[in-house]
Amino acid sequence: MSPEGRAGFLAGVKEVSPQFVGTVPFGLVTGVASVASGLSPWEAIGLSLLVFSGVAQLAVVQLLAVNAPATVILLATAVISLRLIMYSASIAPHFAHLPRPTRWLLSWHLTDQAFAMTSAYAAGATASQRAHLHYYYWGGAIPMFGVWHCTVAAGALVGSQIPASWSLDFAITLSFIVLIRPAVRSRADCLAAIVAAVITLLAIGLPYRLAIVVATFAGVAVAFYYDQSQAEARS
Amino acid sequence: MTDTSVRFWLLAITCGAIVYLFRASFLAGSDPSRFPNWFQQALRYVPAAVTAALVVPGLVLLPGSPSVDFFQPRCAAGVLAFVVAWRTRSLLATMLVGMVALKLIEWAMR
Repeated sequence: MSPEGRAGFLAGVKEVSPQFVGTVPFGLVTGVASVASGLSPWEAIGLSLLVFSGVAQLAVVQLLAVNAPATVILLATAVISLRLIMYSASIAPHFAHLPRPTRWLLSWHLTDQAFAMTSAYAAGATASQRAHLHYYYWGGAIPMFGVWHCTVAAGALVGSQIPASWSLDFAITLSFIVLIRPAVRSRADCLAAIVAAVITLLAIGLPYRLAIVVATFAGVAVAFYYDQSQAEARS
Repeated sequence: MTDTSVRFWLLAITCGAIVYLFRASFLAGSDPSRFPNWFQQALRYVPAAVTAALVVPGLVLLPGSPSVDFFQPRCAAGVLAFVVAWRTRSLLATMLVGMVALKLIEWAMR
């Protein structure tokens, strides 16, 4: 590794560390909630390794617990993961010069944190730092990978010992509640959230939590048209 | 392996494939400039909409049943947790307040 690569990697390690204050409890909750919804600890760990996305893992276990059909679970996973397409599109220009197999590997580690950290770092980076950006990315991604799966595993193993009367499944709802604030960055986001919540309530009678999918599209559509009308009013 | 176990692993693998394809979509795949602008713009609102939609059923549905009840412990505990989450942005504080509030309200309503 060149000195610049080393420096980038270490900067990634240093900047990902404070993220673990959020990742460790979220991983534990995901592990606990997975077994609380009826998975064995091994299934919980396997799901984590295959999906590597807390929100998607929580949605899958929640839907499995209400016996949703596979197509509904896949549809919900896709809707929840749409933001990853946005991350992928936004981060792609930074790594376009790398060979394709490297980019396949980078893709696997594209988490909320990897996206946020790399975008912020690239914005303030020198030309040399930008050329070594993938070292920075790995410096953040490798510890994140280890910490995430270890905490999910710990949560799953501990969680299987906790009695059902503790209502630990409520932890899933609580972990989604925490994600609302960082997702609401503008008035249009706020509108998207409110519309989605109201439509979920109205459509809650739909089978297998399909209300979540319908409500997400409704929220996005209303926010999109709101933003368009604002832009027209300005021009 | 039992049938449900085979079904679970097939589902887990397919979910993993979907999430991976989304991650790789532009990073290892197509050029973002070839996609329409409105598509990328609409994607920006997904996180806010989807998190709000995910929260609601956990607050208003009675556990293990399809009926809505606003006057149940989970709804009140969730609203309290939401206030804490909005002000502190801390998962730990939200978990603690939410779980303790749920237990207290359940106990008080008994």
